[in-house]
Amino acid sequence: MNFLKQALNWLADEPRHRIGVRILQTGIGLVILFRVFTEGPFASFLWGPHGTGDQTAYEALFGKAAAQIIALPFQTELGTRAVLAALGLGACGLILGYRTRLATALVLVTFNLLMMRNIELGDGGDNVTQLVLIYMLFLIPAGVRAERRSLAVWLHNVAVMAIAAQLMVLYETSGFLKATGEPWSSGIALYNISQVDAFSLPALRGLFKNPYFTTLASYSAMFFLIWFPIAMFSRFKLLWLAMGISFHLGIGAFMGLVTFSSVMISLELFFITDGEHARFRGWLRSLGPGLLAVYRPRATASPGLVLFIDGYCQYCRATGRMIQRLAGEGRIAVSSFRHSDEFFCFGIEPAALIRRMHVVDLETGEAQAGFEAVRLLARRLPPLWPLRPLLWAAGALGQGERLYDALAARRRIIPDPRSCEGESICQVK
Amino acid sequence: MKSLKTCFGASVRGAALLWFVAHFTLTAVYVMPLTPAKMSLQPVLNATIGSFFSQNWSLFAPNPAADNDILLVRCLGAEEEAAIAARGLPSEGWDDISTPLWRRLQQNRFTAYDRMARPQAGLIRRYLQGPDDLEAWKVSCRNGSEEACKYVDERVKKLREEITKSLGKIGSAYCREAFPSQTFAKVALRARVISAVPWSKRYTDKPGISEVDLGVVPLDHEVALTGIYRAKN
Repeated sequence: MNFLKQALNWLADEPRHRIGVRILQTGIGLVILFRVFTEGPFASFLWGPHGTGDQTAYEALFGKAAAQIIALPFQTELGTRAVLAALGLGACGLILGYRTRLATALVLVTFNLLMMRNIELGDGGDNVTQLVLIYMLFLIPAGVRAERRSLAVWLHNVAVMAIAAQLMVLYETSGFLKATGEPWSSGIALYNISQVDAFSLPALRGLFKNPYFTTLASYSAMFFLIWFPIAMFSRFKLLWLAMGISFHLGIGAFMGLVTFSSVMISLELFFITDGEHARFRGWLRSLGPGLLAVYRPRATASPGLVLFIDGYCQYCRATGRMIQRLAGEGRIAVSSFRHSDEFFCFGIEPAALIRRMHVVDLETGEAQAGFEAVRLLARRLPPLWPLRPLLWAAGALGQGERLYDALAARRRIIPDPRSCEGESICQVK
Repeated sequence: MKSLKTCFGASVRGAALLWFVAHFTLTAVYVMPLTPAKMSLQPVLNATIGSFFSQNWSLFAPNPAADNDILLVRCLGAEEEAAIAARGLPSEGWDDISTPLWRRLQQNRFTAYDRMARPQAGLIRRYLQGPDDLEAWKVSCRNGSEEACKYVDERVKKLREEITKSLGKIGSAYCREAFPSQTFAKVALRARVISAVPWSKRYTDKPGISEVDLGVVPLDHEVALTGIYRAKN
C-alpha cells in the first residue's frame, strides 16, 4: 500500500528527469541534424521523385488514397528538400530547447515521412527514435514551469516512464534473442560480425580471432542487455549505465553505427535522475580544485620528452599539439622529422620515422616507436592514464602494434615544399 | 464546474496509466518470439503495436549477419542485350558497387556511406531469404500442402520482382554516373555473397564466394544520381 502511494506521488508531485529529458532531446536533435547534413546531399536519390524510395509503406499503413496525399511532398525535388529542411529545423529546436513540443511534433512527422519513404535506410536507432518521439510529445516543454500535482506533470511522468520502459523492452528483447542464438551462446557472434565489412574495421579482425576476447565480448553484451531492466532498479544502476555508454561507444567506433550508438547513449543518460545529476555536480564541485591541481602539470623550463611526428600529416600535427597541451607547457617538445633533422642526434633512421612516430626520453635517452611510444606517453601524462588499461589489453593480445600500423599507414600525407631546404631532410620523402 | 474539472483530470490520469500498462504489455508480447499466446493475440497486436508502434529489436540476434552481400552491376548496351539470349550474361565487366562504400565508411565513420550501402545489402539479403513472415506456410508446404507451397512461391516471386526493381534503380544510377558518355539499354544485377570463415578454420581458410543472378532490368533513365561514383570514361 505504501509502495502504491509512493508510486502515485512520484507520478503526481513534480516533473521527473528534466535534465535527462533535455539530454535526450539534445541527443536526438544532434543525431537527426547529423543525418540531415550527411544524407542531405543524396536526398534526390534516397527520397526524391526519381529516387529509390516509394510509397509502399504509406499504402500499407494508411491505404492507397491517403498514401497519395502523404507522398505529395516527394513528387517534387523542392518538396523533398522542404521535408528535410523541416526535419533540420525541428532538430535545431530540440537541441536549443526552443518550443520543444512543437519541435518534437515537427521531427516526429518529417522523420516518419522520410523513414517510411525509404524503409531500407533504417536501423534500430531510427526505430527507437520513431517510438520515443511519440512519448516525447507529452513531456513538459523545456524551460516551462509546471504546477505541482497538475495534469501536465502527471502526463510528463507517464511519458518519462514510457521512454524508460521502451528502452527496457528493447534491451531485454535483444538480450533474450541473443541468448537463444547459437552463435551468441557459443561465444563466436562477434567473430562472425567482425567479418562483415559493413559492421567492422578490418584492422581489428585479428582481435576477434582471439578465443578469450571474442567470447568475453559476446557474453558481456548478452549479460549487459539481459540484466539491464533489473539493474535499473538496483544499486548497480549507474555502473550499468556507464557500461552501456562504453558498450555503445565501442559499437559506434568499431561497427560504424554512429547514429544508433548516439541515440542509445542519449537514452542511457536519460535514466539518470535529477537528484543524481545534482549529486554528481556537487561531487565534481567539491573535487574540482584538487582534481585540477593533480591534472594540471607544472610548467617546466626544459622538456623531458621529444616527440617526433610526421609534419606532412595534419592529423599527426594536431595529435602533437594535443599531446603538448595535455603534458603542460614546455614538458614535451614536438618535432616534425619532415622539417627538422634533429632526430639524427638520437640515432633514429628516417625510414623508421616514416613508418611510426617516435618518443625519446631525454633523461635516459631511450627511444620508443609506434604503439610503445603511445604507451610511454600514456604512462607519463596523467590525463592519458584512463587509456592505460585499454592499451595494456591491446598489448597483451598482441594487437597494439598492428592497430597502430594500420592507422599510421592510412594517414594522409600532404608534402610541404618549404621543408626541402636541408639536403638530408629531402631525402626522407 | 470545479468538480467537472477534477473528474476530467482524474479520468485522464487513469486513462494515461491504463494506456501505459496495456501498451507495454502488448509491446512485450509483440517483440517476443512466436508463442501460443502471441498467436492468439495476433489480430490485436497487428492492429495496435504492429501498425502504429512497429518495432524489431533482434539487433544481430539470434543469428548475427556473417556474410558480405555485395551488389554487382553490369551495364548493357543494346548489342550486348541482344546477345544475352544466345550467349547468356557476359562474364566480364561486372562492377562491385558495395565494397567501395564500406571502405569509405571504414575510413570515416561520420558519413552517410553506411546509409547509401545499406539498401543494397538489405535488399540482397531479403531477395535470398524471402519474406520473413512465411515460416508457418513453409512448414505447411513441407508437410505436403500444395496450397501453402503455391502461396509461398507467389509471395517469393512478388518480393523478388519488387527487389529487382529497387536494385535496378541503384544499378541504373551507377551506370549513368560511371559511364556518362555511353548509352545503355539495360542493367544486369548480380549478388556476390562472401560467406564467413567458420571459427574452427579462422587461421587456415579463406571466405567462400558464391554469386546469384538477380535479373536484368531496363535502365532507368530518370533515376536521380548519387554523385558518389567516379566516371570511368
